[in-house]
Amino acid sequence: MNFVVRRFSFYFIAIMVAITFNFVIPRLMPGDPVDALFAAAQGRMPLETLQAYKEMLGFVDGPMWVQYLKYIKSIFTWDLGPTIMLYPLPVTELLAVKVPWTVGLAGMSTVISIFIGLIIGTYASYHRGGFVDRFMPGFWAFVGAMPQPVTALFIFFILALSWKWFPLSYGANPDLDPGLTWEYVSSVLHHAVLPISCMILGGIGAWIFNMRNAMINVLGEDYITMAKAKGLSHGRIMTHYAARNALLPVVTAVSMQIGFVMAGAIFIETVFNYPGVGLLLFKALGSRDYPTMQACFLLIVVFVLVANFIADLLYLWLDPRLRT
Amino acid sequence: MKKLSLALAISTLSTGMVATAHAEGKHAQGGVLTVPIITQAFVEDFNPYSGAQGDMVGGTMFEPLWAVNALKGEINWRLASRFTYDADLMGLTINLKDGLTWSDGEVLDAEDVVFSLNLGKDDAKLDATGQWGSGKFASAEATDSLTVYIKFTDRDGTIDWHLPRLHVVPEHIWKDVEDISTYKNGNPVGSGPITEVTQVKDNQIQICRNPNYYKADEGLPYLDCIKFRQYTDNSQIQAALINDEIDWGSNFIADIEKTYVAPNPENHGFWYPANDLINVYLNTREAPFSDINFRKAFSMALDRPMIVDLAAYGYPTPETHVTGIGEFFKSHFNDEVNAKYDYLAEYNPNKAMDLLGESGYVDVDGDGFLENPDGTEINFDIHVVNGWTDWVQTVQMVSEYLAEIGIRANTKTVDWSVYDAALKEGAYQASINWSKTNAEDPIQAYQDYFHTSRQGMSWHTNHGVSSPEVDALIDEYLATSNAERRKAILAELMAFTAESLAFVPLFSNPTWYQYNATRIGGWPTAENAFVQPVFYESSRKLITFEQLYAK
Repeated sequence: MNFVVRRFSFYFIAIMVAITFNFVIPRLMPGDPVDALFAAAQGRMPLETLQAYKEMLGFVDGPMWVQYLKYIKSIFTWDLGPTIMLYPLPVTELLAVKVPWTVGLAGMSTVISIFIGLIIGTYASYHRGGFVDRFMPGFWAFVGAMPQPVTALFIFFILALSWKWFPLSYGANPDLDPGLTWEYVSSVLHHAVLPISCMILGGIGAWIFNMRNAMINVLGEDYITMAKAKGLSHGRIMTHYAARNALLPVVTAVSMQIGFVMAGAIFIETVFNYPGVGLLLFKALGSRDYPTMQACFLLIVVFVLVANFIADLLYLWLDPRLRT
Repeated sequence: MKKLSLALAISTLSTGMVATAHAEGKHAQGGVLTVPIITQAFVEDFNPYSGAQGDMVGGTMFEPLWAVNALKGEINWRLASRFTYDADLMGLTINLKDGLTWSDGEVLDAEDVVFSLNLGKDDAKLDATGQWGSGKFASAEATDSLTVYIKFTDRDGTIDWHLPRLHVVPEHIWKDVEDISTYKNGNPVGSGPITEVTQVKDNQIQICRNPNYYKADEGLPYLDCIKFRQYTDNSQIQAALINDEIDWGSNFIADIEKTYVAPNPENHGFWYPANDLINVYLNTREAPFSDINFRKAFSMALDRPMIVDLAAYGYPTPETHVTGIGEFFKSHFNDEVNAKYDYLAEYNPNKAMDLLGESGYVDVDGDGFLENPDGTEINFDIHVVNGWTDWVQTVQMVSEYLAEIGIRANTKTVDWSVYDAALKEGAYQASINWSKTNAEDPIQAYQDYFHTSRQGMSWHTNHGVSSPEVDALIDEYLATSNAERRKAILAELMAFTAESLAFVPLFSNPTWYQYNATRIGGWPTAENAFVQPVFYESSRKLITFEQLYAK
């Protein structure tokens, strides 16, 4: 229990630091949202409207610390104010539309790449020096080393734009009504194929290496030799004796990986016009939409920390030594 | 059985409608136009006064009183049939068309117009015409059900330029709305050709035919619906255009002949008529720009057609005059003034170098670049906004051309806020910017260039050239309706602009416009130039939309 409390207070402090940075960093960037709005319109907006807009969006709101206190209050009441890009739409409503897409995208791709990565890593390490071991890690490291936006643009250009096998944008065909119909669900899947594939391509190499390295350590342990001596099948030794114990460090890697997956989602969603949080964050940055930006960062921070917390708890379950 | 008979009834009904429409209009009714809008997500917001989706409802859902078609130099009458200024220019009478209705069947009359006008009186955010804010309007009232009278605070002959920006909204609904600037208007009642919202999703909105449209007897609108699709940037729109997913683009597309037109030359087309003029503004308070001969040499050093071809893909129109207005206002060009000063816009590096030599600019230290007559170094920055790539390339080419005549100039990319402040405060050396040369009348450009009241507010005024005489000329123009006098004043201002050369004109920006004639016909083109095809301006969008029909 002591362990849980310690970890929990650590995460609370981490969140407080993160949300403070979240407040400060956007405000260190030059320019404010109204300026950005003007810049985006290349100034074709009557000057007289400027002041009215500033007042409407609350940019004459007094000193920094007042803004900070307001901000802290808004986070704990989950009342994040109106967006600037789509004034007067509340940020929470906008996020509610976007979050499911990103969670689906990031979740699916993480699960799939972990699954494939672990299998390849386990197999490769168990059969060290074999074809899979010599070829796969190198190949996937090569694919993963290509910048994700480049991979994504490449795939977009060939499969979506030139061959028209996959749609150019959106999460589903806009002409269809959302619902649990075969037509809609298949459209969602069809739209998700390319973005998810891109994220898998970028992530899989890391899992292979993680798993392979952990496995090689474990395979040197005495109990593996023991199991072999008992005459157990290779499949059983590989999965039940080696892989199971090698998973422990991989769980830590999963929680760390969530942050990278979110960063990847920004590029991928932008390329495929996928209606998720990553694309929203990217556009909010461009238009200096502080409320939306802060909400996105907040969401990502909370997401990563919660994932870490869950990993800690999972550890507790996986590794009995921590329970004392 | 019941279902079947119902379906039959509907199908006979609809064929009947199409048949009658066919008899009345030039084209059959039907079809859906798909257009892109750049935004993060669509929301159920159909308030023309809200910033969220003004482009979706302006013009096509809320018609203007009239639309100014600058390309044809004419007025397209919409809700109003005419306007008349008082003889002393202290007021304006607007006559509405008879028999106008809202899409819910209620009568649209002068009270609605007055209600909409008065919204801006108390709330600056709703001041669509900007005339309450500038103190021009004294009052607005309905003298009878079809007549509106606006009283001014001062003589003014220009109010009719601003009134098309007014969104006329139904008083019988909007009078009960508490906060209009945040009102969503989820169930809109409008006056334009398309008012009925049939689908709202975060990436698509469809709005269809107004059942009570006042032009229905002319068979208008030909199209049944507009489908608005959400995109987050240009590159996605480019892909969607190429794949025939959308019909009307208003975006920059790289290498358009090859990427868009070539795959389907019959139906894919574009037309980039001249828009506003792009100038390099020079701060004439500082050396070397304080010397008019230096400014002249600057202008003559530039090969404008080459800059347009290399830096901007050949899409803009090179400027051949130095009088302050571009091709957009070619109907206002003055041949006499142009003949006298056009040499300043011609590429003539030898003449530029001679002029510099005569004025005492010599290369004292032998580094290949000229020094000021007093021996100090010439080395200045030309500001351009970070990331506006075509302008950055343009400025780089300008610097290269200047280097050819021995002037050292640097391209300085800055963030918008720095650029914005420097232009307004006159804290730049040289800076590239647009101009107000695509509004209703050329005088607005000169007002923006020179009128001292604009200093600190406009990007184009703080170059250090102004004079009380010019202020007086501009004021006189605005307060007269005498066409002859106006023409004479414009000629004087053009000559003043060319003589002072406080900015060096480069080219007219293109109007970004692509069309896809696979499904839709009636597009404006260079051959069928009935309007400048701007989607992001409600009047011109409406004029364009009215001519479109399904093939």
